[in-house]
Amino acid sequence: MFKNHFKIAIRGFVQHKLTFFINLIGLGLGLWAAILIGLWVQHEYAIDRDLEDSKQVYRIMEHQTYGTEVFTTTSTPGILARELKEVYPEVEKAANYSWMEEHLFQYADKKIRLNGFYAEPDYLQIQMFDLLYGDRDKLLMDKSHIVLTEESAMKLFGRKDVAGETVLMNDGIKQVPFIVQGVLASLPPTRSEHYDYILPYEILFDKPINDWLKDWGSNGPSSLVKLSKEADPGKFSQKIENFIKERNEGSSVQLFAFPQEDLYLHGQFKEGEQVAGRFSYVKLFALIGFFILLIACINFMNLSTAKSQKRAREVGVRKVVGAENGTLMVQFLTESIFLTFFAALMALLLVEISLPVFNELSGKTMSVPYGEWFFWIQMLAVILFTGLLAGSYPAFYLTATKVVAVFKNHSNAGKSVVRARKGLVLFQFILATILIISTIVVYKQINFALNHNLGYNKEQLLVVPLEGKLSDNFQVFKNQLERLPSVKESSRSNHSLMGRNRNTGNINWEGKDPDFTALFEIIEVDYNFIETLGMNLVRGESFSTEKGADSIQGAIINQRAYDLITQNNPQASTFKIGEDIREITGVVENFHFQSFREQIEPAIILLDPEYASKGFVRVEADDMQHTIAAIQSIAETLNPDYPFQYNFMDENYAKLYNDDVRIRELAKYFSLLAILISCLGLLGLSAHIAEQKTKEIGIRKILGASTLSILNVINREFIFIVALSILLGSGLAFLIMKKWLSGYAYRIDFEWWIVPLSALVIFSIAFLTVTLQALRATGTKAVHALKTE
Amino acid sequence: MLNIIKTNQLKKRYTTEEVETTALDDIQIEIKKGEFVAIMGPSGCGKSTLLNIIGLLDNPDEGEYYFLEKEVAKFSERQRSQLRKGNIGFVFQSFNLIDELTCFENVELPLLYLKIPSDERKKKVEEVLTRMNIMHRKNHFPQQLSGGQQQRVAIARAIVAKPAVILADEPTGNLDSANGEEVMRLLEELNNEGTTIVMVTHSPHDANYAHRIINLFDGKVVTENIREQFHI
Repeated sequence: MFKNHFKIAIRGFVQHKLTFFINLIGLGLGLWAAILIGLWVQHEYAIDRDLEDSKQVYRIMEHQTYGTEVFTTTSTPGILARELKEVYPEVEKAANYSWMEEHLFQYADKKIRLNGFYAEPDYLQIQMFDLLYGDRDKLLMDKSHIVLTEESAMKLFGRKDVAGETVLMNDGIKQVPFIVQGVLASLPPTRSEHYDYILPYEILFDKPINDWLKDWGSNGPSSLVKLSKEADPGKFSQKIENFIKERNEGSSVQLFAFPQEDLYLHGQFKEGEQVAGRFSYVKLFALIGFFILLIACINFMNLSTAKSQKRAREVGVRKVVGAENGTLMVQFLTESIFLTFFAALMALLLVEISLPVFNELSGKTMSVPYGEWFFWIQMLAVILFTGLLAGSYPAFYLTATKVVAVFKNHSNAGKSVVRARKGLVLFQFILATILIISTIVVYKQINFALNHNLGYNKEQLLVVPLEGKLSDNFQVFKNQLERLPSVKESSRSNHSLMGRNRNTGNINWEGKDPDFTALFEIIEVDYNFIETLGMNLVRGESFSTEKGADSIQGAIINQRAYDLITQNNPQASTFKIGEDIREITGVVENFHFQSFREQIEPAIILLDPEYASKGFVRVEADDMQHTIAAIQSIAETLNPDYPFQYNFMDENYAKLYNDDVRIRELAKYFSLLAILISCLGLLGLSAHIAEQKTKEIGIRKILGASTLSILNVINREFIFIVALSILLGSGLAFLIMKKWLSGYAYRIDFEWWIVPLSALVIFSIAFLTVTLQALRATGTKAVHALKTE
Repeated sequence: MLNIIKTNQLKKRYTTEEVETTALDDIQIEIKKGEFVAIMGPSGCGKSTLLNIIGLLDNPDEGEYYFLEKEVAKFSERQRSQLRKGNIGFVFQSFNLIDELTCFENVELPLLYLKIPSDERKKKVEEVLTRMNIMHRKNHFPQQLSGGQQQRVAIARAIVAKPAVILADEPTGNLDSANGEEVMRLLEELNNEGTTIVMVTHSPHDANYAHRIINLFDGKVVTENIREQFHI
């Protein structure tokens, strides 16, 4: 029996080539998108879940309350982990570890910048990454040791077995030798963190400059704990809630333990509440993948039911000679599964071709796990699901055909099936409309964020890391730079303006409501910073060498901070940072130092360049290449130990939106795909309708109808449906995008023209598709048209 | 003798949005085993409707229908399908062969649904194709055959499962006179071997092959003639 179904399917494909190819391409493209998105979603889900005991591993997080605002962070005091381990027996292992730092490493003649961090010994006992060389129990204990990753060992030494070798690290002041004590195997691509080295935490901890790490009121490092198997994480969270408050009077910090494996997808908080965060993108793309596949399945359903008149005769004959409904159902489902199988082969080929581009778009390094049986089980499940989904409606519909109706020469396409078919086209185009409108809105919002006035001029602004002698002799560097005609201004700061860096709630002023607290960002700069960045002073003046001590004792604040300080006391001209009184010497227009998702927060700019790590150089737009070459030459002469490095401020800023840009690009391509597949379906369906209406067209022609009026016969079937889908789709897209935009503190309005523009695009494509088919139909000679009867 | 088909006050109505048409009205017929019966009448008189009901493709609205002496008027589609299988063979005016299957596969189809093993199927199909003198075209597709050949394949399909009755709906309607004659002779031959045949036809010539003619007009049986009365 199966052989018979198989034969019929193959011969059917050969006989109805157009339908076969439309179905194959439609389902193939749908599966292609679904497989790519499936790989991406699985990759996202797998992140940080690869360790054996990952269910026992928690990050300690803080809710900090400032007035009515709650700020949630993974930054903790630098002594938290060891204290937790001391106090709570359920904490099996605990490690504080630092933020990422880039340093220049040297082995023989080779100098390479590597990224890494400082961690307590338990870190590698919790994160049990494979160790190629070294004894895990002895790692990160001695301040003269370092742990490298396989890749960094290869980069520095050209081999992996480097345990015992010495490498030099430039810590900004001097070259420090470290003995390689362990080499970690390549981190799996499903880790959220990427680093090249780990140094013992004690190095950082014991530096006098880092005394604040021992302070319960300061935050910086992360805290990682591994709880015992029996421990109840919920109860543990409750127990540690007031841990910091008990040790730091007046603290508003509430601690809690958050599963490390959930941090990547679910670790976003707003006002103390968990928000969808990255997981919403995973859901969104899973939904888009499903919808694209659904659109492709709808094509199959529509074309199959459209062709049902022909198939109905076969069904009738089979029923007459003894086929039962069940057997027929199996036959039709076998056909659709069989077709889906071909489509899946095509999809896998497309995935293979497109994966490098997709990896670049999505910022991942994914590959198709051909060697894993689980992948093939999944593929089989997808093929069965798609085949059954696509084939179910045609199978039910065809099988239910009354055998008597089959032998009468009229169409058995009842009103219900025509309605269903129109409903499916409607559904397809609603989805296509939502996708296209959403893409335009996402585009607009990201362009808005990238091109909006930030309160400073990010164009033609070079950021140079201040390392070695550039840091020690910045003034010399600055003087030489400013001698270049193409350099306008330069300055330095500890702050990159690319996110929160150093902040405090301990700011007071006269007339301040004692219950009110706000988190102020502290930005330490050198002279000329306001001018170099192109910030706008709205009050007072900038720091200047002439004012000397006044500048050092003063502060420039942003409008937001000024509004807060002068809220109850318009005359206020000073404020206190801790016990340190500062005079407001200037007020600048609000400027963004975080992404557009965040409100502009109060900021204080202080003249204190001691720890400045970034130089800012404002250059002329012309002949950028020469300017950079000249700056490089100056930097390398002054600082020969370090290879010159620079970034553009606008590029750094764009990186804040890397995820959004990725989402935008993916959304764009998948929208186009959805429209393409929808139109493919429309092409098939209109071809079929044109064929069905051959007689009507023939009669109309004989009666003298013009080509235009004949075009209308076919087009009118679709114009209404497409128009209705645009209407409904726009409404839905409006609601969806309103919600998405609400994630941005600074956002575009949902502008009215987006709807007519999308409508025009969809309508034109749909109209063109249908008209092409209709034109073919009008070209048929009336005599032939009537003969088909 | 055994009544293969017996109807009693059979009624069938068709209702469209505005009009109700009575297709069959009080039909009372009996067809015995081994008979060759022709049903005649003008277009729209209800011939095909009657054939559909006696072929168990459709149910009557009212009345009784005994097939092989079993009351089947209220049978569900599933029950009818079960009973039809192997008991009734159909021959249509437009042949109704499946285009995507070869002659052999078309003829094999009823046996497939009767779940007859492959070897036996092959034997039976070849036997019947040989008998229909079409064995040499067994691997051809219907479109590659002449109308007469297609109808012979259709007859082969109708008889391959050795049904109790063959229902033929205008079997020569799409054939030229030579091929039509051949098909009629084949049916006669089958009848002579004991197969009951019920044939709907417009053609008095074809009706000549039958033992008995049932004339329908406006959904009613108007006359019944036995062969001796109409044979010329």
